[in-house]
Amino acid sequence: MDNILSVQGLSKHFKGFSLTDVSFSLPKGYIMGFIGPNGAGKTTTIKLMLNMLRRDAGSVSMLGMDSVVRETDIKQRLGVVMDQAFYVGEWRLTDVEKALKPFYTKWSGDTYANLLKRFDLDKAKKVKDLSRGMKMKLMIAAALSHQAELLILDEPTSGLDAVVRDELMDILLDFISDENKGVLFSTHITADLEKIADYITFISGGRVLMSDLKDDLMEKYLDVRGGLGTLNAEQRNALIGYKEHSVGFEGLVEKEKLALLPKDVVVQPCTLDELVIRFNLEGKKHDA
Amino acid sequence: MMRNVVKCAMLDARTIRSYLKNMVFMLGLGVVLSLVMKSPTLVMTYMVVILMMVSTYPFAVSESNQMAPLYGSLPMKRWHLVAGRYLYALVMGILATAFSMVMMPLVTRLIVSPDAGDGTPFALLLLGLFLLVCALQYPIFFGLDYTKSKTFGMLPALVVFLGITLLPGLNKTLHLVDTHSLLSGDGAGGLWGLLLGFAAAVLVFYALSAYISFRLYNRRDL
Amino acid sequence: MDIIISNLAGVPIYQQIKEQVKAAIIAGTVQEGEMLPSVRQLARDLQVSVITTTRAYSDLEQEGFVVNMQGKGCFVKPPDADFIREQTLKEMEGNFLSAIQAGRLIALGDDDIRGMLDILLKEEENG
Repeated sequence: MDNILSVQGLSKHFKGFSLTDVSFSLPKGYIMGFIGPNGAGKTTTIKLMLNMLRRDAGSVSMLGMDSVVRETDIKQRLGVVMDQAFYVGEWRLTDVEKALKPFYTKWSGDTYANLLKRFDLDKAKKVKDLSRGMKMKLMIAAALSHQAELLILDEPTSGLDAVVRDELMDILLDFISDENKGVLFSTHITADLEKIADYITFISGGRVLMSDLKDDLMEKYLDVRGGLGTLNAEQRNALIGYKEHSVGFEGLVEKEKLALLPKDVVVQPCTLDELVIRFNLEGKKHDA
Repeated sequence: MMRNVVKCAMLDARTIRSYLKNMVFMLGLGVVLSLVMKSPTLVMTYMVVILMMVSTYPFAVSESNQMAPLYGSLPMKRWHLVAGRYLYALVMGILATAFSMVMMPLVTRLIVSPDAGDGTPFALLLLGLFLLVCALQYPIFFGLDYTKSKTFGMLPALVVFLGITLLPGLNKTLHLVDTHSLLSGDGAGGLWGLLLGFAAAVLVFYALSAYISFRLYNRRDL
Repeated sequence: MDIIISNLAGVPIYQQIKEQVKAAIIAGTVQEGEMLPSVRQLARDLQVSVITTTRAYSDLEQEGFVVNMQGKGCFVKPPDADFIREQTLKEMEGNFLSAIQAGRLIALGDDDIRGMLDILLKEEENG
């Protein structure tokens, strides 16, 4: 399987935060969800991929090309969407096209016009007068108008309602119906990813905790709850992100370790949110 | 590849487009003022001041609109952006100079002032000065973010011009070149030779500044 | 053919898809030789991941219900009764084993387990 995106050993040190040895790969034709708590390093990783930040170590390959050596070739085929519109507020949607079109060899004005229509965006409007959801759709329209094969989205849906998020899911699934394309989608709204992501990379504290098929991940960990005092010390240690409250405990357990636990615990499939929360808790314990 | 530099210059122009109306308005204001003050040269000096503001507009607008990801996602390299902005400033300068070179005789005709003459040397001198100031400013703006550059941006230019005015030898030479002969354009060939030398020096300085800006900008985390 | 999945069922989605396609084939809702929606089309319609639909289809192929033809699509196979029987028996065996193992965890004996099976069989007959 060809990888449409491959990150190897990416590292970057800041004063209060370090991204360490980040590696993951996404094969062609699939959607990868990039999850983790706020400040985990998702945006940093994406900025490093785009060469907006200078890396300390590591390499990035997109569409089979090195992201530094073939930077401009890659970006011809790359679409980027961020959580905030990065166009001049005074630009009308037609001005956005005028600004972007010269740079892209494969820009299609018809595609752009059709997408604006499909997203119900008035091309006479100014960027600053668009709602948050409309701004996101504008960035997508621009990203899809130059035949991009790889889409990178960094928190595109924060602050957006369920309707717009659902529309985005449709757009991405439509995009991925071409098996030569790929999507990297970073978000802390995991509900969207639970449905459509094929792969999940979970980053926390600047490190990749896991990078795997979503289905495998969801089957590997189980949500465990029970009454206080049910577990002995060894069993408590087997849980990830163990937390006690006044009427019981919660935690995650690896499927293989389920046999260690007493029979009267409540076991259910875990959600991506639970994964993020429990691993975050576990990480804090080790830091303390 | 070079075409990308032109595209970046155009992008800068499009970025500040809504503020261009400001500039045109202020140039018009300059013409009116020079009519009122009966001084055609005011058009030119006004023009240079406006130019200096306009030259930093791309930095201001791109920062306030948070356009870093746009530059990060467009298929261009950092040096295209830097070179493009220098090209943008150069073109802005030439356009404004051309405008004032047209305006000046018009104003002169309207006032019938003794300061007749086409004033081309003076205009070109001012253009050169503008490019010099740009060359001194841009490395700061490329090296630091806009909020910091706003404060420190004029520093190198101030230092240079203070230096020029304070250095005794240089001062004397400058006094030889008085505005009158510049405006009347009837200075000897020597004056033109001086101007040509000045132009060459400015262009070299401009290119050097572009290189320095590129080195500074390339090292930055955006 | 209708496929209706439930996100809250507790049953993995690929399995739900698999079961429903299987049921449609057995019931004759889809004919042999008919082409199923592509994995990507299905993923798009159901709003699930492509890997999920791919897994459902490849399981169906393993169980002898469909054949995946590279570049062409997924087609319903003529029912191979013996193969289906063998696969189903294997599946039942696996399910029985899981149930037995689960029962052992709470210390059920053979009689308890058989007893439960009888009750369930009776319920199924009546209901």
